[in-house]
Amino acid sequence: MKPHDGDPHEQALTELFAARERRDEAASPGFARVLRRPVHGARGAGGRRWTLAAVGALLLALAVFGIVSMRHPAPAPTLADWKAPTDFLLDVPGGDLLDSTPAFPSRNLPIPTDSVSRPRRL
Amino acid sequence: MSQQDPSPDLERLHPASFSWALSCCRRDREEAEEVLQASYLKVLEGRARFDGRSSFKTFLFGVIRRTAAEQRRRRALQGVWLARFGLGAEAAADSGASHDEGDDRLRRLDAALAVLPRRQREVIELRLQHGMTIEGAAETLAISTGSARVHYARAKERLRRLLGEPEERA
Repeated sequence: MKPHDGDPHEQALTELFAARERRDEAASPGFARVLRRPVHGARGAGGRRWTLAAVGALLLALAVFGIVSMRHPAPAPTLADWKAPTDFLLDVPGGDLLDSTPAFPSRNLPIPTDSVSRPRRL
Repeated sequence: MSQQDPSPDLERLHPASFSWALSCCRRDREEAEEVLQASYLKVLEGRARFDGRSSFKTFLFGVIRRTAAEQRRRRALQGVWLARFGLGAEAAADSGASHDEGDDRLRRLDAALAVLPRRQREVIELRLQHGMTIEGAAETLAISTGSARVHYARAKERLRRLLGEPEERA
């Protein structure tokens, strides 16, 4: 099937595109030249070597860190060290009064007692 | 089609491939050569394999289109970094210029195609310039046949208007 199918506009377009194709193809570089041109942005063997070296160093550092962490594990917390995360809610104003023994007034103050002698009934 | 050594097929299709690469690279000749080389290497090194489901030309044009898209993304990313370091204007001046020389009709066609959305331009070029069927164009662009048909009809209509009014564009 031809592209234009009898449509004169499409036929004109087809001819125009054919001329464009001829112009583009005439300007095309040789096949071998395209293949042999220097690869843009490609990293050579040196670049790859550096990448491999960097990856190796990173892996080595991770391995050393892992071994050191395994040899010196962090001390496990005991049950007595545990503190509830909501403990701060218990710190209310005046709470220190409840945590300590109340102090009685000084002994110099006159303290009324029931030891006053009363006449005995005979 | 030989699946063992695709070199003869690549060489036979080379002029058409270059023309398609130019279309995929906004008519930038330098970029088109780069894309073409990367595409050939993909095929020759087996990173892109022809499985025989379509024609070799459809397969190759698809590889070229994908490679051009990758290149575009990479350049866009580089552009962001270059702009960040104040090198954008220089980089932009180095690329994008069309080196085409031809008669006035072809220049007008190029200008009209530059106005079309990418998909419409690709479908009409594959159909009218590279002689593909709508199905082949759809396969090359990895879109449905129906979608390719719609893009083709719209592109034709748009070109009819753009090329029919030369004075307006002058």
